[in-house]
Amino acid sequence: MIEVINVSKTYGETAAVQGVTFSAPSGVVTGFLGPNGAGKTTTLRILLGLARPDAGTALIDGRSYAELPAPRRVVGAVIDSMGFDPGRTGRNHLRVVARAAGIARSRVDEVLDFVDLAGAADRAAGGYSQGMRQRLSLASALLGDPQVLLLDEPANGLDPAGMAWLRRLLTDWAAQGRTVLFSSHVLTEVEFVADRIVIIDRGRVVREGSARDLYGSDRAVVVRSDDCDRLERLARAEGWTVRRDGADRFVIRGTTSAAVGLAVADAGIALTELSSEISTRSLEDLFLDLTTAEAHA
Amino acid sequence: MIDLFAAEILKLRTTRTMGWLLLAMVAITGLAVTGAVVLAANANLDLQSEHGVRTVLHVSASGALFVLVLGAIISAGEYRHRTATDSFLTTPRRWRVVAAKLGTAAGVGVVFGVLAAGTALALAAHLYALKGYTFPLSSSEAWQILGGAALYASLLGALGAATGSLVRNQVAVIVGWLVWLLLAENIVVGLAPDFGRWLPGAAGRGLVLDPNGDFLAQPAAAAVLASYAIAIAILAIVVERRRDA
Repeated sequence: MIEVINVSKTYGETAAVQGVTFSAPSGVVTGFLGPNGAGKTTTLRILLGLARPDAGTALIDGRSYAELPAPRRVVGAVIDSMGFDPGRTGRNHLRVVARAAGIARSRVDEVLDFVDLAGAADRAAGGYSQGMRQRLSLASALLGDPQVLLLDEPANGLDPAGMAWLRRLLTDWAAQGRTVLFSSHVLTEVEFVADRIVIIDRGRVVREGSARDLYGSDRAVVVRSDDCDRLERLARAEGWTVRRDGADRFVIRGTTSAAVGLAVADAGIALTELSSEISTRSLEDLFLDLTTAEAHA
Repeated sequence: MIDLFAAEILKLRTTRTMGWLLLAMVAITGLAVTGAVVLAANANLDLQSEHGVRTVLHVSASGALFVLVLGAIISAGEYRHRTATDSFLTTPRRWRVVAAKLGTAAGVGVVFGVLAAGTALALAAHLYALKGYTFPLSSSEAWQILGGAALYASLLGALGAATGSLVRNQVAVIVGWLVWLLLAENIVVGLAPDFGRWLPGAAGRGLVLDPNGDFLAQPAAAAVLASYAIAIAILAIVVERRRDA
């Protein structure tokens, strides 16, 4: 369980995060979504004790990171500022981390196999591809078999097979009752795997909730009528959100098809179609509505 | 803490840096001792006298600068390769990271210093024989100097590690210390000798009984150098607790 409570942090004149509050419960994958520069990495760095917040607290299982007795066994993290000595092999990098954290050396081989890096483990990390580096970072996060995974843009540099593998890893981790919080600026990654979504923009959380609540079950009523003007006036009077979609087609939100049918009958408007649609609104629509990210045509 | 020291040693063992620095240190020590014996013999100095032994052996500390470089790499090198984040994730109490690096640099420094001192002694004995002298192995000065040289290497390692934790840039640390020890400090010592005795380079010369000048006695010199390292380490810890990793 991760809880971020009213966290603020300013770098110079720039407010990186302002009063950020959200939680990531155990047993679900939480996606932390926001445009570049929205404050995702700053928030994760504060959670990990790498940056000090000006205000607020960030807790993992009820404690700040620095208070965790064996942090590597509780939290596995991948964050952008982690690197490798180019002259050290991947295996030795993991041995160093395991040694410092008091983790059994046998775990090194286990995680190397798990991230499918055993074949390259005895080569210097300086020669690794970006995807291999990302796997090595993940391996080092998994060394302590942690209850909490905290990953900053973990899909960066992974090929499609790697992405599929990562999605399975996150889902399996949460299915075991553990906590997963991962950040991304790529909508499809979040859409595929997150059960719960936190959207951040310009340092503030703009929406938080289960994927279903946020966009999945958004119902819309679709009607067709030749009496366009009167239908639009009626929709406004009833307080529905209406969008004209083509010459005679309307998509109405904020009501049910039964209520639309009754109101239309009362008003004496003839319909040529009345139906309902499910999930007409995508995460992309929501994201573009809520954030300052621009859609690139 | 044992785990942290072991991890620091493992870091050094898993790259080539440490081996190259040791090689350089031994080579420079050998070169310095050879030069000192040749110059002293050419100046018709009595190599077997106390002054002769001090003149020849005090240069066995010249390779200690490589331990300072190693200390800087142990701490500031983590920022160069961005492995510091990993260290702080494993050990969020940052004073322990700084202390482990200081201790590791000092410990490895002793080993390097003993190896360099052994090289100096073996080479000096050999060169003495070539010049028709017998090296005075029973001279207490010889052993004091060699012990002082090993200690100097250890303390320079600690200084390098402490400064590296504070400055986080290994090139800046190494260049800064080289400029100070080889250039700037000599100027200060020339201007104010009484004050200059307490500076780190002069303290180091006291540690190896450098005959060319008036330096602190060995115990005081060791205490002064250790104090510099500890003071900088404490400063590094205070700063490290406040800043972002």
